[in-house]
Amino acid sequence: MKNDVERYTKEINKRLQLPGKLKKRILTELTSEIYGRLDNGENLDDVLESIGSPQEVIEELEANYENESVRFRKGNIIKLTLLSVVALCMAALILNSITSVICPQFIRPTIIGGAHGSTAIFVTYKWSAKELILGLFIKVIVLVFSLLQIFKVSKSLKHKKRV
Amino acid sequence: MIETDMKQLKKGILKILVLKLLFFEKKYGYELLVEMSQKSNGFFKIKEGTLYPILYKLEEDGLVTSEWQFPHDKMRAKKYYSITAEGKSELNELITFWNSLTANVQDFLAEENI
Repeated sequence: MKNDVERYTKEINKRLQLPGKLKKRILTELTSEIYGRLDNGENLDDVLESIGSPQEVIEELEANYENESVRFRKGNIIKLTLLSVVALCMAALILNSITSVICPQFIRPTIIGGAHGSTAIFVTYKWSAKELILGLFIKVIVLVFSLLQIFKVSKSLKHKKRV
Repeated sequence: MIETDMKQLKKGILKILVLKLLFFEKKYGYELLVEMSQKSNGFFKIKEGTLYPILYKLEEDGLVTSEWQFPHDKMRAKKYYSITAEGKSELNELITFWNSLTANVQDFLAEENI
């Protein structure tokens, strides 16, 4: 029975497009109500039927929080755009790092500073293999994190479309 | 279309009904749903998805307060809502307005040319 209640509230939690704090409050109260009614001897199917299917609950809540819901969706779209930019940048930087490890001859040394005159002197710096690998590692972590977030946000937006 | 209009009309009144139900004693969500349906002979049979947003808005406006409490002889906590002094005063104003609104609308609709 506990599993059925958890499945029901999880379904609402997954698809409800409202700010996290509000969603948590609604779900805590809803869960408490379901268990309270079960304690009073009501049948689980009757309780869930009277509250409505997860989809009905979501539609009703989102209709009553129309502005919040729209704002939240817009926020998700902005988040998705920013994450995509970060992921693209990281992918480009990773490609650059890989090239510098595999074909170091294509990478120009970084110019730190210099003096320009009749005799020009420039101080340059070249990344060591250790530094390049560490940088590559950090970029891969950022890329994986961004991709996971993109997947999560787009999944929740897709769910909304289906509802 | 007419169903949407009816829903909107009903929705506007729910705030008054919730405040009225809380006027004499604190209640939890499901208690409010059941009482509202019983006292209106099923006319105001609303669900949690409508009640919670009303309660949260009332709380945000300082018209009700809420706290988790264990009911007598029960092991599980429930969230109880109580009306505040501000809520009582707003309810009185809303009732006065409602009486004037219904009287005027009834007069208006009773006119022969309609």
